[in-house]
Amino acid sequence: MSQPKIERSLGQKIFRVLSGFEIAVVCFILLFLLTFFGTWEQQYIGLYQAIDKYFDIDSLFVVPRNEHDKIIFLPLPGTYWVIVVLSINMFCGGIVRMRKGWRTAAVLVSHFAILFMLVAGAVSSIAKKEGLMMIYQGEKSDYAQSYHSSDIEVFAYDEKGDRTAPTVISSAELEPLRNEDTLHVDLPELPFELEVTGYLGASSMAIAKNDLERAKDHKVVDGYFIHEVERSTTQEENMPGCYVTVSKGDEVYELMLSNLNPQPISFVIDGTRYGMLLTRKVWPMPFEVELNKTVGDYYPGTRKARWFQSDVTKVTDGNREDYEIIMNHPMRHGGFTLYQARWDKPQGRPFSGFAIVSNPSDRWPEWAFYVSTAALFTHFLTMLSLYIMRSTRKSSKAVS
Amino acid sequence: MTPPLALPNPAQKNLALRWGLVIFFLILEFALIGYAINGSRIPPTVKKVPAYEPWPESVLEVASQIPVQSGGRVKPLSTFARFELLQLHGSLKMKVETRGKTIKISATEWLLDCLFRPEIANQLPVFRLDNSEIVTNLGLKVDKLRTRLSFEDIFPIYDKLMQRGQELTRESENRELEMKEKQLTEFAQQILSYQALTSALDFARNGMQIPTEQLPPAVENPESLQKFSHWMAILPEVSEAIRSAADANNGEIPEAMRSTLGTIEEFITKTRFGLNWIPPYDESEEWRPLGRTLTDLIEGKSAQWEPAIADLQTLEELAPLAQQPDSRAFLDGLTAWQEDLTQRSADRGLGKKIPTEITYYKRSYFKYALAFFILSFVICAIGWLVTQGKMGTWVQRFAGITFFIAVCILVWGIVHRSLVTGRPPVGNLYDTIPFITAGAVILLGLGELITRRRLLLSLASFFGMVGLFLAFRFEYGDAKDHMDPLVAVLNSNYWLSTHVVAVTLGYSGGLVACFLSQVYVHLRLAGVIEGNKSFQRFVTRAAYGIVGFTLVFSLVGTVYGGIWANDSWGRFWGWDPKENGALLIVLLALLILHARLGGWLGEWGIHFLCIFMGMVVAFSWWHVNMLEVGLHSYGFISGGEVIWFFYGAEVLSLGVGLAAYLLHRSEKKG
Repeated sequence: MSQPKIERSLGQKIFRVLSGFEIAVVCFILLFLLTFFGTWEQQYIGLYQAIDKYFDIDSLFVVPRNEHDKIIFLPLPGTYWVIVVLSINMFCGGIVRMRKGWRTAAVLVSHFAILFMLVAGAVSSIAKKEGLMMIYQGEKSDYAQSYHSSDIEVFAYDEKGDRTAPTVISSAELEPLRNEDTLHVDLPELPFELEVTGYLGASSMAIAKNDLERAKDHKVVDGYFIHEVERSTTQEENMPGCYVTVSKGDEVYELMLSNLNPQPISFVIDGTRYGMLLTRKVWPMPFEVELNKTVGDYYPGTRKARWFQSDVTKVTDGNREDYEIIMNHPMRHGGFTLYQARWDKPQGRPFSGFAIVSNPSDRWPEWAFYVSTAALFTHFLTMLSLYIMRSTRKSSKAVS
Repeated sequence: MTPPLALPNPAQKNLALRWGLVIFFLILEFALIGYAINGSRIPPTVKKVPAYEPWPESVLEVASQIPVQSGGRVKPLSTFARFELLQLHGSLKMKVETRGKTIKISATEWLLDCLFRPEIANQLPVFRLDNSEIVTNLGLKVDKLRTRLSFEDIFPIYDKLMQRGQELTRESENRELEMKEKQLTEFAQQILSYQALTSALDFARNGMQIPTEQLPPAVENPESLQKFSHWMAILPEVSEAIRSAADANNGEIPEAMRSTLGTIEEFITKTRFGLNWIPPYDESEEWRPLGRTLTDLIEGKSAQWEPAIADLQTLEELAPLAQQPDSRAFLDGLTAWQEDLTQRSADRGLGKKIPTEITYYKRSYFKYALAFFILSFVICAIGWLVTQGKMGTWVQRFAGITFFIAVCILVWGIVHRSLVTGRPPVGNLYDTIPFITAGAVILLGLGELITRRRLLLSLASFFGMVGLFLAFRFEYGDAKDHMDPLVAVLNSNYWLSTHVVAVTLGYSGGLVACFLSQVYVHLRLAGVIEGNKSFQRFVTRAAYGIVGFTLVFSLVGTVYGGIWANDSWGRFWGWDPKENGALLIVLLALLILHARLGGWLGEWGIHFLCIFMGMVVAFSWWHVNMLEVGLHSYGFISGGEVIWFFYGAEVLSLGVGLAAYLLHRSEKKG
């Protein structure tokens, strides 16, 4: 006898598709391929570029390529968006639609926990900020700098020769530029116009008179020019550079900025001296960190790190709090986490590099982990016990 | 009980074709594995060294206990020797023929030869050469591509080799060296390391060798002037005397003095490298070769002249005694030196684990475990033929007992290793191999206890053999002391015992599932289980269940790794190759489970994906370390072409599965 056909509304049909195993399986296949190609390509383009290409929120489609830039697989959807679809599927199928009972309780809980973990990942990729704060022992700092992104800072010098608050041309505007592009920047707070040209994501500086052959093909400013270098697979090593034209009426300045040059380039407009600098993006902190003492050592006779420790004081509005930061034990406070990321002692003067992270979902994966682990083990052990009981029953029947 | 396997029914369709295919694939698989193993093997060379006289056991016993510092820890001399010899020779024993007998020289014996009898050591075939073109290009005649040479063999091209090595080292700063060039620079470096050992006691063996006519007639004890320690003791006075003599001689240092000064300089330089066996005389932690201590004294960085001179004198007394290795005097001298160093080490709270480390290597746990796994596998194989009656039961019991012994030895080996290192069982890539093997064989052994089908026990023994064989290959190939301490970020017993253990158990599960499925497809192709639906279902269920195990441990381990990364580096997930490798296993396990639940994956599909799982585990376990990118830089390894042979073998297994599936389909239709 055939079963009567169940009439379903459009909403129900959509829900059934969204919650089906089909979507889950397709998502797992896609994620598998994306993770594999995203890993494989890292050996050619580096970790940062691979994340940008495969796993970033902006990546809608990905074309896997080999070391010679040849396409090696069909275009795939961006990982972030596959995870979004998988999360919807998991919610609809693995939580709402899933049969509820004691045998599925653990799976239900683990689905919920994993979903929570994926949400944590999404929040992190949107809201997380990170940077590096370098401090020498006995000194203090109240800002961190980005590992990868560089901004142009433009500022005026006051009468004492100190820098005033800078106006920033953000890396978000600069990084998409190609070498042949021109970026017109309108800065209402400054009395001049800016034009950025010849932007290079990975560049080096050279003295024109020392490299006449190459200088012929480049714009030379004050005896220097910037030229493209092979992009390093370690993004921190890629130093951007560009040319900037500053103009006001007939007054025109040609400047050359490079991330390799830590000194600002200065110019005078309307009798005011200004400075301009291409530097790693600065992230001001709402507190100051004083590095009281930092110690580190290596295993004897090697350069293998054994131990790093920093004793710091965090100063917020006059309130002083002491912390100890060591490997695997960061300092967490007020939404910020400080990690011991670097340590060295050049010329006997020790310094610490603290990775600073602000991530609203910092501890969410940990909570999700405890729940999912308990649920997964419960489910696995339940299944195993049932299997053993069935097997024992079968063999005892066979004996009798 | 139904016998698990049965001879194929002669009425079975395509029987000849099936067995033809099985044999074809097995030949290909074994050829591939054989090629991978043989590709890096050097045929044993037995060199005639007529003057070689073995060191007495008593001397070796004492020598092995001498504490030395290497790789950031204090370890027994025997361990140091073991890894030095592995690096140079690629093996732990060296065969030589002496007085008509072939003997095997151990690492400690070889190191004693280097220190006390370099003229003998120079005749030993210590240098492993994987591509002899690098020396034939420099004019040396060598008839094999892969061979082992002695220092004496290399000596005719020594200067050219060193010069070319230096040139290439300089060039490497500006360009990527070719493979042969890299091999040459590494080879030159190995020879220098070897020479640092053989010349470390030159001062003690040779003395100053000042001609008697140059000795001042009024000297009371002219013999003392032949000792390097004497000259070091009076070095400040000597310097003053040289200065005065030079002043009186128009700035020219007299010839006799110049020659003596040259010898002193040469001895200091020669003892600057090699063995770090002198504990510091002050509070510092770094043990150093004698030459560096002497340099510090001369440069005024240290004022500990007295203990340094005492050490020089001890070695000057000891070295000549080694000319008679079985003499009581040498044994006593060596024992006194070892006890002195051990006491100085103990005064600093170091070297406490030297005895247990020596015991660990002496017991060769993994070698014995391997032998028992082989025995167990052979008995299992006999058990396939004798399935019925008392005999069958006894064979099965005997297989179980030998397997149990193998597992106990393996587990005790891992525990002993942990006790020596003072950390959880898995801290580096080498550690993972015995641990994963243990995880897999225990998992399969427990499976056998539950199911009693004989298959899992056979598979467990086979896995044990393969795993431990791999452990030996990796230890010999990598030639690094894997007991050395870990980098700061890994130095956490909590995370090592949770995240790392969970991930590696996940690897064990993935490989077990893969092995089970390989057995399944091979048996299906052979037609051995075609009529035994219950057995087919059993293997499939076992593989599927183990995928569940793999998922639980891989997922828990991977997420726990993320939490560790969040505490160490400030990010939970960074798409780093090591993390992605673990994720790939999780995704594949999820894919298998969900596709099965969705009804798209039948028996064949599960087994195909489980075989593929083996490749994914290999990628995650090994291959990601070869990509040399990401934050897990402490785990990077080079080379590793063997991984492609493993992938090849898995592809062949997939081929076996496909052939079996197609035959099954066509027979079903027919």
